[in-house]
Amino acid sequence: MEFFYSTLIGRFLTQAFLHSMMACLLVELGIYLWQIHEPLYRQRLYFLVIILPMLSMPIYDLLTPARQTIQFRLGALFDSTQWLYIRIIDGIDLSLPFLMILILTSGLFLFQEILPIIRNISTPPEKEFSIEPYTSNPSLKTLLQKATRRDVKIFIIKEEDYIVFSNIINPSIFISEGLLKRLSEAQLKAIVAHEMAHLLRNARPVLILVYIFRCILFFNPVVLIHFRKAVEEEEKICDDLAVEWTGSAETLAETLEKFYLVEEQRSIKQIQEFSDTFLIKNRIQRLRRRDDKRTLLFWPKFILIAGTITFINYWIV
Amino acid sequence: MREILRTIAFVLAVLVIIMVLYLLNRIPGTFHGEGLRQYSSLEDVRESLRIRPFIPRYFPENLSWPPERILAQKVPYEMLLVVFKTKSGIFPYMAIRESRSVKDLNDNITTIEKVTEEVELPINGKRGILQVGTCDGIPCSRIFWQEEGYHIEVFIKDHPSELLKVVRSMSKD
Repeated sequence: MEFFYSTLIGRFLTQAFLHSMMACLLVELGIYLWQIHEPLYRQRLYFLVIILPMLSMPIYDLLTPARQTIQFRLGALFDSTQWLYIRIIDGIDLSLPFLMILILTSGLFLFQEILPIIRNISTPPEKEFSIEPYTSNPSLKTLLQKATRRDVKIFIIKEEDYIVFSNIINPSIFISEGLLKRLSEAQLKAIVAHEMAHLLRNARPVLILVYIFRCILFFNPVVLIHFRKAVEEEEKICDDLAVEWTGSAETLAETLEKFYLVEEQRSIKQIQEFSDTFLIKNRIQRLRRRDDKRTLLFWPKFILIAGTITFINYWIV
Repeated sequence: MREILRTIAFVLAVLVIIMVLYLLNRIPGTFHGEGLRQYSSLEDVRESLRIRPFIPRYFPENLSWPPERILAQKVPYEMLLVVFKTKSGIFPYMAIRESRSVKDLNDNITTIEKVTEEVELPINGKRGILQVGTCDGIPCSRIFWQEEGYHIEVFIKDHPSELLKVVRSMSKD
């Protein structure tokens, strides 16, 4: 165990964890002190918690090869090995509970993310959905072209449940028949605009990069939580874009309310479902509040936070 | 004005975080005295960590005694680094390191800038590797080998013959 934390992998696991903790602390501090409310800005800051710990140790070690030596550790601001080898009880030191946290987080990632994907690929769906193109609404077509300038198709799923999602590979939006029946034209526009916003934004390289980094740092609970937070901000960003395109925040709030009421009536089985329901409620409240507070000089603040994280983490080994 | 105050609050909070980190880093020393730290003498290392250092009986004439720097740890693995300066104050002049891990063998104290020659050499019946080269334009050399489960390394900013005299006189204290 002692030698594990001296290896390259052991050092990376420890430093990525500690560096993400420091990034999390400074990002949350910046958001709180400067009252940063805009989802786009908050998301950019959350990305720091995912991107910086992934790159920090390799870059620091490249710039200062002596960073892994005892001389450097002795002068460091925080030397993790000093803590990891504190004996709790005879024969067991703090490195064991630390390793348990990483293993538990990895297990969570495996069961929540990887196994469902494998299950979806390996087992045939319980029921086949019948899908047909939706062409009867010319105003939606105009909205799609105005907002995306791309050929996005809408399909109807023959299903009574409330379902709406988009497919980034073949730009298309899927809406269930049950949902379509209960939406007014304005509400349909609002929900389609929200999905279009996802289609446009999901193609951005930074989102793909953050997702890849998050998967590589699967063992890191801080990264796991902040990725979830970034996803929540993504929903709010798409809400804002939908409101910008359709001109009505209330209509989108009413549409989301339909989902929220359905979710609330359902017996909640998993934390994920509870979290989704809570997020919808949060989004509805935000759309209705529509505060116009704007963060002044975001980029200097962003650079200050990123620079501080980079500086402090250099001295955490 | 409010923005300036908030920025000052952020800077102050960062300073507090740095101080807390600094203090946190000192806490483990109170739990166990076996982590990496600097020692004032080899006696101190022997008493605190129960490490028996490999000590040479021969020292070059221009070496200054006692050692200028002694770093040692028992955890995560046993390691002792003793660094000497010359009587005229050149530092580092000679360094002796014994470690249970090979990881520490490459660092800035004992690094030869430009290796001009590398040869295998028997040291007390073990296979050693001698490197000769220059450090800051001065001739320097180092030798490393394994003995009793330790990775041992001796570095000197001097002619290799001095290094070999030191190494051949070394034994466990």
